[in-house]
Amino acid sequence: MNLGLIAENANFFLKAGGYALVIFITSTAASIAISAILGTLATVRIRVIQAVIRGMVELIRGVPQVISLFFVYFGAPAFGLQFTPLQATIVSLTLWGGANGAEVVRGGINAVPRHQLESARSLGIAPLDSLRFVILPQAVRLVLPAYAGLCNMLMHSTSLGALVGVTELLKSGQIVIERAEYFHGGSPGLSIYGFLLVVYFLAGLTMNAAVVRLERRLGTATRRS
Amino acid sequence: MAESDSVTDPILKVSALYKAYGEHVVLQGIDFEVAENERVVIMGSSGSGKSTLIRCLNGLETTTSGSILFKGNDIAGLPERAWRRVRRSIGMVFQDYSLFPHFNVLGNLTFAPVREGVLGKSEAVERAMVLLDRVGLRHKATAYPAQLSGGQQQRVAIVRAMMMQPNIMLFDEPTSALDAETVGEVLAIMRDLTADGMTSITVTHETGFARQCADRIVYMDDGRIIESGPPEVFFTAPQTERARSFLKNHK
Repeated sequence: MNLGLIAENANFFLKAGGYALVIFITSTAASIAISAILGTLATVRIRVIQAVIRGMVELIRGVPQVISLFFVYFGAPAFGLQFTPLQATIVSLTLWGGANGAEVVRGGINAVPRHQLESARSLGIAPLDSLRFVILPQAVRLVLPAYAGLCNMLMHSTSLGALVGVTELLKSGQIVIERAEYFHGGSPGLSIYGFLLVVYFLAGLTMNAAVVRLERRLGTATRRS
Repeated sequence: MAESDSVTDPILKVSALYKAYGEHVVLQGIDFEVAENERVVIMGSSGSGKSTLIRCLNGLETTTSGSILFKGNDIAGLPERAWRRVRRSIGMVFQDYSLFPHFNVLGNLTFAPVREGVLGKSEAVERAMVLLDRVGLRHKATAYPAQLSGGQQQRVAIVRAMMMQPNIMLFDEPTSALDAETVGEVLAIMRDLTADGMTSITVTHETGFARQCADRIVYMDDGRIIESGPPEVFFTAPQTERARSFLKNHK
């Protein structure tokens, strides 16, 4: 591995990693909010609401992430909007995460036994309180593994930003390789992409460890001792 | 009950209650009264409408027509918001002892009364501990439902329904989901709690419990009440053929 080349570009890679992190954190946070709201609404038994959400979710889920990214970036001006590459990436990943997350949340809420809501009602607990204190906390525990998988995919998808010109990790790697080829000849592709592979792998490992910790913290309460 | 005639108004009076799911009529005109302090057991084969009836009494099912007078006020057809207040006075225990799995025992007991502003936190905990003591579960106050047996969970569920000091307790097949060995402990708790004047309506197949702890048996068949009388009469001399064959199958 050409460690010298990586060390030389350490600052460049750090900055690129920062962009990747910004894309990941922003789109994850926004998509969690969207999926919580849409997923909950999808369980409300009102036909119109269900149909509208269903349509939105299917539309977004049925389109490859790259296409949706290009559509957001290149199509936005047609709607009077102008996104920077970074914004376009965040918006398209948020839409993707929100739509897929809504399905996960909907499934989680429906998986909480019906009688939980009934006993909350029979105790005179207000409907919104039942949702907030009885149903959602149980749904969160149920959806955590599936949702973590979704976040993992969002993290990987930050590299799509490269296609519209965000200098995130993939793009920075490409630039470093091109530069090295131009100035020194020979391709350091193996070193650089190997390096990126390790970076993504470690990031994923860290996130999974965090999720396991969270699961354990939420889980101890309800687990049989 | 004979002795309460004309002296006190019934605490609950159901008149011409109908409940239909589309074409399917589940309750075909129910008339019945429950006097204060009376312990009524509703029996009947599955599909007779007894669970639907008891669920209507707590507003968990909407009624199609008819009235339910609780302390003289018609509560049938109330909007959900108004039912929430009524439910404080009418406690309910379900078959599947649905405790909240993410709260410990004390949390299960105190959440609703504190959140709804009926009791202060310390007051609620105090009452919870007294009631837990009474059902022999004081030492489980900080345990989570998953750490309790089915019978213990159902005892906690009974206490939870009594936290608001309801005027009436409804039990919907409270022992049907339990193992044979634990049925007894739950019935003993119910007997104890309803002995000192708690009005109760219980749907159960436990004839032993009905015999000992009911002031009156109501027998339902096909969405109607076809017999109503004291247990000694119902169990020894049932009036209808349906009740006779039911009793033959539920010894």
